[in-house]
Amino acid sequence: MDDPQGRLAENILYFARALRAAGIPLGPRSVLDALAAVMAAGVGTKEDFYWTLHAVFVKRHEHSVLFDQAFKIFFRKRGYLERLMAMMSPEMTGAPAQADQPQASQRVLDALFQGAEKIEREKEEVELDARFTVSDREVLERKDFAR
Amino acid sequence: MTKNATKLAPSSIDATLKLLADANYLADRSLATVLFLALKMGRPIFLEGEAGVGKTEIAKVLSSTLGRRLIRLQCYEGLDVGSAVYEWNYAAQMIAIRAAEAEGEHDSARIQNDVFSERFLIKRPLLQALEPDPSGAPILLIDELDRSDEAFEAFLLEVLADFQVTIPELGTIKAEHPPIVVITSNRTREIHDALKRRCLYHWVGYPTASRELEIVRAKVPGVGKKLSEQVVGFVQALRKLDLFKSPGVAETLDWATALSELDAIALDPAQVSDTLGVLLKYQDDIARLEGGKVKELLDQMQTELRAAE
Repeated sequence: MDDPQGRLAENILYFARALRAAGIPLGPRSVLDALAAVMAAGVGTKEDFYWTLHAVFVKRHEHSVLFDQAFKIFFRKRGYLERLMAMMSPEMTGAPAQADQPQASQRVLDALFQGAEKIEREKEEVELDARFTVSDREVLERKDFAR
Repeated sequence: MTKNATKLAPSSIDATLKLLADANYLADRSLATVLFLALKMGRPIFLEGEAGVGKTEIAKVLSSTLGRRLIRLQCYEGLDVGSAVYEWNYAAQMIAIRAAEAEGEHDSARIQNDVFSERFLIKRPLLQALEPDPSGAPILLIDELDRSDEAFEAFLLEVLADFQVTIPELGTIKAEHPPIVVITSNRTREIHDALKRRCLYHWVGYPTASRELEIVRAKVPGVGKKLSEQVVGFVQALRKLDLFKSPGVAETLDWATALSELDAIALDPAQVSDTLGVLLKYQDDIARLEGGKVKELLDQMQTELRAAE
């Protein structure tokens, strides 16, 4: 593979950020692990690449679904890593891109996680509900106490 | 060096897959990938999944194919450092002290020194796993970690971080070559993320019908073509029911063995009902299949098998 290691690292970093946004908690260490794993396995086929990243990034069975969606969207339409790198590169070049970066990555994330964000939003709603019930109960308890 | 000499860790995912297949363990490529990476990167493997899908078996297969010693730590509620790492042989120490006193030895510092020597140390699995082994770093199987307490889990995290254990009276024992660690969990509770982060995680699920068929044919040589297809088809159909405990691969194998011992060529409802106890371990589950349910499932499966042909 004539892939410069840096590009691979950047892509894995971006992918990890995408996963984090989708609700898989990942520390910086897992990015390093993922890079080491990809280097160790050598990117042969897409399937191997998939399971290599899966081994490092997924730590819970439920996260498998999120990972699967993210991977498919992230690496779709890009012939393979080379093309992916070509597509990602505008965001990576030099200083002027810095201002654009948050915006660009946000756009990538939005595009990536239509499905996953819905799940997240649902989760938030559930949490909100829970909070309301607690406060309702608290109000009632206080009332009882007063009487 | 014997025939069982230590083999080098596989050099690729394909080699890992072959290594497992040579030991009659038919794994998905995903599992082989995780094992390969864990061996290559020297990270513990964390296998989670329902009971009876072959998690423990993986450690055994690694041990036999790589020619390493298998050290097993079976977890249970209340497992403590004394049973997992080391313990002083208190009774022997007492006798030694008495004997020393009887011989007129009154130098207490010396007695203490003697008594806290390796001779009186009972080494439990974790400590054994840190010791050098002539056949290479051993395989440490920490089985059913979800059954242990969280306190033990925290302790384990420490051991896995540095592969060393400190015994106050003796000092720190550090593994020269860290063992290959395989941790399994049936997920009766969630294992803490901090521990999982150290490991490469893999969920071992039920195999697909075609994979399970291969497994049955590899492990139960006497089983006929038709019977094996039907056994697998029936078990796969059972897993779709909402049972308290779905049958695992281990149960499929037991059932196939039992039926082939009974010289069955194909499944028939009466025989299935009679042998259901091999597959289902809970009375509630068995009760659910009483009445016409077994026949219904068999018919349904037969139509599916025919459709597949």
